[in-house]
Amino acid sequence: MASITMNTIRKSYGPVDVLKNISLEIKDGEFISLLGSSGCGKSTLLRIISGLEQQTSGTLHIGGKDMTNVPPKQRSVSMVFQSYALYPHLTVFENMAVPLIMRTMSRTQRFPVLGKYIGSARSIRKEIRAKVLALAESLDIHHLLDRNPSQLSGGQRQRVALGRAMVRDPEVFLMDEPLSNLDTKMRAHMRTELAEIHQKLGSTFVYVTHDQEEAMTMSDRVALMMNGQLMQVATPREIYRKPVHKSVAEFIGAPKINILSGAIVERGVMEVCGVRTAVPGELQANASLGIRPSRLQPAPESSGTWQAQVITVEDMGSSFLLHCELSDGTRTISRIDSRSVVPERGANIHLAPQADCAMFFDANGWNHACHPHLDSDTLHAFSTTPPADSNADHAQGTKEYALASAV
Amino acid sequence: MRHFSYFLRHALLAAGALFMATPFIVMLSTALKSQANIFSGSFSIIPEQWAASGNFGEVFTSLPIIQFMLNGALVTATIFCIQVLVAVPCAYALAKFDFKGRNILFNCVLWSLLIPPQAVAIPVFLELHSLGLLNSYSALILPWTISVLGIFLMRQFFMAIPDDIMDAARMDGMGEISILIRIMLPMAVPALTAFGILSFIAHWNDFFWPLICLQDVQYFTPPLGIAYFKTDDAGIKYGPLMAAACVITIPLLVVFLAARDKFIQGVSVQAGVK
Repeated sequence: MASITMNTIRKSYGPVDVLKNISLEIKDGEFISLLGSSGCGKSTLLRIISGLEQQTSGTLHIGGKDMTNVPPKQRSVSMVFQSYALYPHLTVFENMAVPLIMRTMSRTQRFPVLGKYIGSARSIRKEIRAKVLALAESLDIHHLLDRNPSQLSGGQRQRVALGRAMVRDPEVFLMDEPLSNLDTKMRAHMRTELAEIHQKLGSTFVYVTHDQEEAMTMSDRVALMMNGQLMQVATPREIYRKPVHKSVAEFIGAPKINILSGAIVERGVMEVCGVRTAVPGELQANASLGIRPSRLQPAPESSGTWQAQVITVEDMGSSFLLHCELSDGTRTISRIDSRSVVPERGANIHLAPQADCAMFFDANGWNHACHPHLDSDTLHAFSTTPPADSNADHAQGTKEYALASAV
Repeated sequence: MRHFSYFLRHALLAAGALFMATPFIVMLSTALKSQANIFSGSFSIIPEQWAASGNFGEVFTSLPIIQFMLNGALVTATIFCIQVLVAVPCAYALAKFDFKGRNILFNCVLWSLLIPPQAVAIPVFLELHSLGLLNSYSALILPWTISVLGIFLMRQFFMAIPDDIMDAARMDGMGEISILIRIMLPMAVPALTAFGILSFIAHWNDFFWPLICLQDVQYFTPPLGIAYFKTDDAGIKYGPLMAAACVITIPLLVVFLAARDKFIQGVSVQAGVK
């Protein structure tokens, strides 16, 4: 088993910096997701861990050993590709046996026809066969062993690719969007299956995805990448509740968080669309307020509510999505419970933010609660999300964030 | 109206096919006729005086046709093997490695496709002469060992193989040579077959180059060999000549029919990858 340590890894193609100073410690046995939109460098980082790509500078250690200049075949790492990358001319059995054949048999033993008479080639092949059969049994693909990849469905190919990666018991699994070619139902199924495999094997998993749902549901930690940089590395819970930056808050969570721009009318008071609210005193001009759709609910009119017009209502089954327009033209989304009274399209309603769940971002987009320049006392005072569970969260919610029309 | 256009299309295609097949039909018909029948004033597809056994018999008795065919087989097989040995690594490098000057190199390959072999025949002849290799199997084989068409065809095929498969092979512990032999080559069988057929037909049928570089009958390839009927003192014996032409066409037909499926797969480059 192995931990992975990356230290100031940089990768550039000519003048373009794809990765800028990535430092990341992945614990032994951890399931970490590299999350980001396409082109953010997450796949490049994965390929650097695998050894398929060489970093421009920086060091990489796997299991405490320096792997900076070690070729992929000498790393105890296997990879599952988005396209599965099965060998089309080999059967399922042969596909799964390749990693073992290449690593346990000598060049002469692999030689066709004559090879099997050299040394213990026959007994090695027998062991390989037994191992592949056992693994195929556990992955439920034993009935497919004689088929070619072209005869398999997407889900079956996925399992074969997993099998090929698992067969040599690597210390680290790298997965490059392995579920993105499957249909929704199969994807959900494979997600739980992957999580189970991770628990069973206890190996380190590095999982690249652009799908926040996958990242949030499977990972111990999520590493959110943007423009070749790590924006935040945290547990799914923390990254959702305490995003360090506005862009992180906007990336995580569906539907997207509501970002309302406000004006600091005096120190510690921000006016957002006609409603005044107390904010941390350090906030300067051009600050903004973020509130999750589930925390922005219709409410009876009061001094702390926004007047809004309902634009559309989307029925999601278990909930409704309410698209509204505030009086200053800002669009908002609210997620409301399906059992509550749902306003009609075009209705004028009032929206009340759940104050203790609001986030404040400064002019550069940093979350004030996480901002490094705040001292720890201030941080504590303005903490919106204590690490405990959500009920405690509400109970403890600091009153400084209470919205008021007149301060 | 639809029936009419259907009929018209097929009539056009049939006319085209007939036009292409006519020389073969005449060849077959002539091979079955007696000399007198060939030179009689009227022309008919079905022979009036049959002389099939005489004509074909003469092919095997008066000519070392078996020797010619063996020469042809040896030369075409050797040429193809060396062409593959050269073209596959070249094509792999051109398709999958990123190195300085790759595009220039590939452009050179493309430009070489435009040079007709006749244009360089004399320099190659002189070169072989100075090496003392004229009038030998080497003279037949060496000039054709590097096939630009082969490099181009294989490169196009390798381009279509996804990089992920090669990366997967690298992760599974293969080096570049292993990838080439264990992964790329087996996947490229359809393309290789297509190229093999093209190469085989071209060099089996080649008349021009053997005519230039050979003197001894023992090295003659089939087309050059059967041309001997022409220079016989009795004039041109069309019957046996056409019978010999029929005989040397048979291997082409057999090879093509045997590899037909793979050939068609290989000509459509994407096939076999997914």
